[in-house]
Amino acid sequence: MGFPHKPHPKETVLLSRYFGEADARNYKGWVKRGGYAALEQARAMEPARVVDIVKDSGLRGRGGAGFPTGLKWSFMPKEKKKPHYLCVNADESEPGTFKDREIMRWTPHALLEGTAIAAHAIQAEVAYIYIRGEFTEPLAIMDKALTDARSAGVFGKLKIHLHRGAGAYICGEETALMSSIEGKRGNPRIKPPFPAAAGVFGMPTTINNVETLAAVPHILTKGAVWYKGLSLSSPKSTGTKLFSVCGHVQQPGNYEVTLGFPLKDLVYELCGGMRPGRTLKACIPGGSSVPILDRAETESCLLDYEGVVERGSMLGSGGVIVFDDSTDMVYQIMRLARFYAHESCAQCTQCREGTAWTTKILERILAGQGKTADLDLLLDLSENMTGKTICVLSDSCAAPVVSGIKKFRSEFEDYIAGRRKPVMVA
Amino acid sequence: MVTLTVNGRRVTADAEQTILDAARAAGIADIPTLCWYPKLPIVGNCRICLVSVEGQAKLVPACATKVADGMVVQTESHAAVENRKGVLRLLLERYPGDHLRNGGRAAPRNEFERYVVRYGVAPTPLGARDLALRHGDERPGDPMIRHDMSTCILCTRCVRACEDIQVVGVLDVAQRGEHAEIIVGADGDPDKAGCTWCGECVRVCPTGAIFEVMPQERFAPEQIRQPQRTVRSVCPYCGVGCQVDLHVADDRIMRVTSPDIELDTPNQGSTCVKGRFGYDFPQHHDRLTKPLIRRGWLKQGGHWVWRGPTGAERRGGPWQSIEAEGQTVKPAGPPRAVGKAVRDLPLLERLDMDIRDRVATPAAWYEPFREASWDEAMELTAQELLRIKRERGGDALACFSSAKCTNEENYVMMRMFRGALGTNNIDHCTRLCHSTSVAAMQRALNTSAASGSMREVEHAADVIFIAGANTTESHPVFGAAIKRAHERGATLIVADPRKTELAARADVHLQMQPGTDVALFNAMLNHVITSGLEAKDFVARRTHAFDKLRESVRAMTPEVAAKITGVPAERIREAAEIYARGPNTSTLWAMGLTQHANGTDLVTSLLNLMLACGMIGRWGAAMMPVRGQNNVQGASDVGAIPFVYTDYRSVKDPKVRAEYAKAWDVPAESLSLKEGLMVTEIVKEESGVRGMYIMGENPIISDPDIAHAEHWFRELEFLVVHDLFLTETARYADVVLPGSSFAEKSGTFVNTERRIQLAQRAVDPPGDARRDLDILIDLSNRLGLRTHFATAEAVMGEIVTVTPSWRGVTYPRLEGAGLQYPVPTPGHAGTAFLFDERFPTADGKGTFVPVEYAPPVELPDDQYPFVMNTGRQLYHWHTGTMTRRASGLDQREPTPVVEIHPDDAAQLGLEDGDLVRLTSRRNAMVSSCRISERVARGQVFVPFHFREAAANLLTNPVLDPYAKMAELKCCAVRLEPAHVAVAD
Ligand SMILES: Cc1cc2nc3c(=O)[nH]c(=O)nc-3n(C[C@H](O)[C@H](O)[C@H](O)COP(=O)(O)O)c2cc1C
Ligand code: SF4
Ligand code: SF4
Ligand code: SF4
Ligand code: FES
Repeated sequence: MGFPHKPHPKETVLLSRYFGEADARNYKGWVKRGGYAALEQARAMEPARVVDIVKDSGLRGRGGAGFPTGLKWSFMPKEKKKPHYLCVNADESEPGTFKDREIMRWTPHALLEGTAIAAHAIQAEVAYIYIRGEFTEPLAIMDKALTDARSAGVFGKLKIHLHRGAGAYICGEETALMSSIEGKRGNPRIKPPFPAAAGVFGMPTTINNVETLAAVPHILTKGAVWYKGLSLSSPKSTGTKLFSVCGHVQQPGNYEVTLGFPLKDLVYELCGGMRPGRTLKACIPGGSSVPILDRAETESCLLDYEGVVERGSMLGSGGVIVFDDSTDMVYQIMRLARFYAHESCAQCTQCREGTAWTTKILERILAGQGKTADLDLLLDLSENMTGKTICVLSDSCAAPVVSGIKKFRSEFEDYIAGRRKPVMVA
Repeated sequence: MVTLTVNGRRVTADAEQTILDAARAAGIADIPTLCWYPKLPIVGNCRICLVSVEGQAKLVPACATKVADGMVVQTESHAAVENRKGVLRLLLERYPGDHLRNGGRAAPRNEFERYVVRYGVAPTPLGARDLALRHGDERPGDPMIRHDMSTCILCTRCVRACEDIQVVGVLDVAQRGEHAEIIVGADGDPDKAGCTWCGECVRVCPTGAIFEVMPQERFAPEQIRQPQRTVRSVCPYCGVGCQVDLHVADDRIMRVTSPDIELDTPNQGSTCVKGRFGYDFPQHHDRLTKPLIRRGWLKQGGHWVWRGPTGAERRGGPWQSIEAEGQTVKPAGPPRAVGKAVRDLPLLERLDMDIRDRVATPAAWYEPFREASWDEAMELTAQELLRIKRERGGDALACFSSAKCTNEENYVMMRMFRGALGTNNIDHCTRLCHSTSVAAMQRALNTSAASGSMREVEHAADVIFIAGANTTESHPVFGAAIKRAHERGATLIVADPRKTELAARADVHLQMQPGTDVALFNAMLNHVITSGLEAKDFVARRTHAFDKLRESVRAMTPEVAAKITGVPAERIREAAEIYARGPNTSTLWAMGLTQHANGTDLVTSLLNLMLACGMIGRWGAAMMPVRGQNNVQGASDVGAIPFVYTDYRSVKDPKVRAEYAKAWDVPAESLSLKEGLMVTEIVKEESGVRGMYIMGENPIISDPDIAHAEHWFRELEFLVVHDLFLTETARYADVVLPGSSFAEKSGTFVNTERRIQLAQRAVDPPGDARRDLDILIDLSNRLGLRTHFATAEAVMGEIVTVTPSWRGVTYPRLEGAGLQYPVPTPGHAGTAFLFDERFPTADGKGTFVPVEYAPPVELPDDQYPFVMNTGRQLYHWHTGTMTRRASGLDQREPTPVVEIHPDDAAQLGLEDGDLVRLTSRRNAMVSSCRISERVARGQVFVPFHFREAAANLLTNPVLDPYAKMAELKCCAVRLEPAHVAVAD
């Protein structure tokens, strides 16, 4: 569902409060709404103090890994010996994830303000905002907002650059993003060294997701305690989060809820439930890179970092993909595998060859040429692809395959046994 | 230091080491690796080296994980082994089946296959595979390197070797996912991508996906895998002195590889294109296999007499002189052999003619000669040399020894000329190389060699100052080291009229007019002194005559120099400051500085700058004349120069003479106390030289003003040429002796950093050709000098007794890295750098020798508006005798080209490849042109490798007053298009 629309009563609108208000995009409009006050507040503090506030708020990274933001900031060298950098991850390319795009489209200054506060906290003199190449509209909006705010002098000595990606999913991975900014092929790098020790151009760097940074001004103005209070479940999952829901629901779109919110309510109430006459079959709760939940798991799942893990998946980026009973799970999983095979940066053997082989096997099964041994081969390959590579793209490909075979095995077997009409896959 | 446990064994390691380093150092556990390679950046992409570490949920890459105290590592845990099998299986899925028959039980052929066998992984049969074979750029038609990318496992070693060792960056990974592949530049054309054909990529590839063509075309795969023998030798080309391993099959050199990257050799595993691919000239069908005697020499009554024509006819022949050949229009050469862009280029073996035959010795050249036995040839030679000595005195004889021959050979040669013939007229091509450097260094510091080492420049210099050295082409392996130093952060200053590769990447490029170097260096000195940047303490403690120097450069302000050199004053100041601030500045120079008629002054002014800034005698502050030939240093060290015996001990000193007389068992009076003539003095009417012995040199092509030289050689009474081929010079010989190439003999060479290295014999000389040392020993005895060396090692045994700074040298000690002299005692480890305390002068101090700027002798004018510069190309070496008979090299650069700036070319109406006629005040010649921005406007660059367009037809024979170096780098010429044959 596009903006503007009235929020659902069960939503907690913090980041999305001004979505749909064209005026909020303007520098003046943003200031009118209280914008850049948090930045001023932060600037008046010692950087370490800002880090502490964010630590206390319990804010965790919204880019996928859910790493505590304040803690990440605190890894930066206290004593500055080299230039510090901040990277803003606006490469949002995960299938089923489209929240950062809306933040940039509607509230570009929220991101810029968060960026400036983070830069102050980690003592960075340069910030790169790495925007997905296909995001032409968000780029134009960000560009204007940046120019306006810069000419209003809000950033002081901080230099902010917009860096446009060129269509590679892998460049959203933090170290690949840094390689890309350096003008190199966007390959992830081995860690350690971690970015806080040697990031972009080999200098201490912090990288944060757009949504993570957009939340920071709220924490500064309203306080860590207030933010920490925003939780429906555990103190380890605080604040609000945008969930991008897509798939077979009545009203797909972005919904902002407090963490700990039941996934069931998100699907059945906020999104208006499944399409008429259809029932829920499966759901991927955290973008495409996490294990698939079946219906029972979906309906009992709480949307926070621990809740989703308890059900066997991960919160990831908060992209919720919902499948109804008409879905061919084998086909869906093949499509996911194909995405990863296409996007693998091709460094690691397991990922480069494993994602491609997985895809080929799935295509073969769909085409009616599967063998009984193929399922074991797939599981074997997935095992080989999990936990062994430089970044987790390889694991991301394996996750839906393993959970899919586990939970929907009969659908695979139907193809292999010839009980289902073959599907030709281009 | 930390302590960890690997497979149950306690291991101590440096905290900076990786698990792999620590395990290997402790001799534990052969952890498999594919993407890891010594000295390459660690990327950790193959994932085969993963090991288990206690307390870590995931396996960790041994190649990329640092050790930690208390770490417990299992290298062959179940999980680790399963992962390795998984990796190998995935790679095998795309690996051609026919490379691994028998389900992996076939004999492994490469690093990768060895792991497949070790872990017992069986590939899926070809037909049943889901994944296609891999693709990649293939370099079809390439004369030296080709790719079979179906066997590529994408370890990216080649990419990193090209980028990080060679600092070129031709190769890269394109595409993503399963389509990822190795590419050659943007469009598959290695030429456009700047490939130098160094073969570093061949060396590092673990599967043979990148391979050498030449062995494959000539030998069976089994032979290549299992050479008859592999022998360590030294590359026969430039002064870097790369160590190489010669692989032998069918008693021929099959292939050249470079020793392990981790060994302390001058090349650290690299070579350039010449070293790796220029090895087939010894097997060229042009090789002389029998001694030749000029028809007309007859043996009558036990005595050789000349019964042939006399006068101008005496040394004539059915050939065009070099001068005449220079005027001919050359047939357009075949296209340069490259990769994809010339897909259709026929392969070498499919060409009707052997492409090399264009430069092969024309059959007519043999006509004036007949084949002879060794006995005949040696007898005649001995008779005539002794006759001339008897009739005209020893000084009517002269010898060109050879910088391509070993120390032992040069030693025996000079021993023969001095001991048996009583003359000091012995010299070699150092005269046309670094003689001016030696003269300048002798004047200032009483030394004759580099003070430092190449690795010092690579690792320790903060600033590298290069004057007149096109290192990346002339000394490519050192050039790469300099580029690595630059990447590491060293500042690079290049003074060169051409925009060479290093000049283009330099932090400061001082692009001066040719021959104006003195003005440039004096202006830098002027600025250093006026800014008070000179090393005051060093100057005071370790030098003389600084005041005189200060006075002499006072007038040469950067502004004045700017007018002379064309370099903006600001640049000069900047360079001077960087140079002086160091902290450690290394100073390199080569032919660009030395090959001038005022070369000694040019080098002296550079040395003045160096001494004033105190940039010598510390690790990182090296003085490095970069030597041109692989033994030009050694040939001089063992006394193949007219003024000194070994170790630069003067021939004028009776005490020294007595010592040698004793060593050689000859009366002292038989050794001359008179300094001999130098190369450039010998080839002159007034020299009085009537008989010559030339070993492995080709002065007709390499010396200035060829027409004059050709004439002079014709007039000799007796000429012996001892060489591999019937060279342009050998055509005028009375006797031609077939010698041996580097691969056919053992001996030692000294590289540009004073490193004495051992080369072992790999094959036998072809036919009746003999080892050079045997020839010289035989002749010495025939000349009456008792010479009883059985081996080269025995010669070294004598050399060390008369050479104090080599006294600790023995063959066994030379194995491996070799020794950098001075090695004064048997236990001495050699000397990486010199002069930390004192210079080898009487009082230990260096001397400033003020020099004034003088314009080059020949300046361009209306008639001759261009400045011609001569030099080397990457693919050729010296007069092309060897490289033009090396098939790969010749295909890369088959025909002579002169380089012209695009603007000049446009003005003259020349297009790339057009024929152009160059005329100097002495002569003219025709060549095709290559349009290139490497030369500045108003300049042309002419390589001197090509007899059919010989650069030295045009050069100016004026000589440096001290070193008798000729003005090879700078003469004035006129250019015009030459579309038709010109006969004037
Ligand atoms: C293959 C891959 C793709 C990723 N893509 C994105 C992305 O598009 N945007 C993003 O914010 N994080 C992405 N990440 C996560 C980042 O690596 C990183 O964890 C995140 O930017 C950190 O920011 P945060 O701590 O604010 O979440 C990706 C990770 C992987 C492994
Ligand atoms: S796991 Fe895949 S995407 Fe990640 S670094 Fe390795 S090859 Fe690249
Ligand atoms: S031959 Fe040398 S320069 Fe050419 S691609 Fe290989 S490594 Fe690079
Ligand atoms: S060509 Fe050889 S070195 Fe290069 S990536 Fe492939 S296997 Fe590795
Ligand atoms: S050798 Fe360690 S990952 Fe390749």
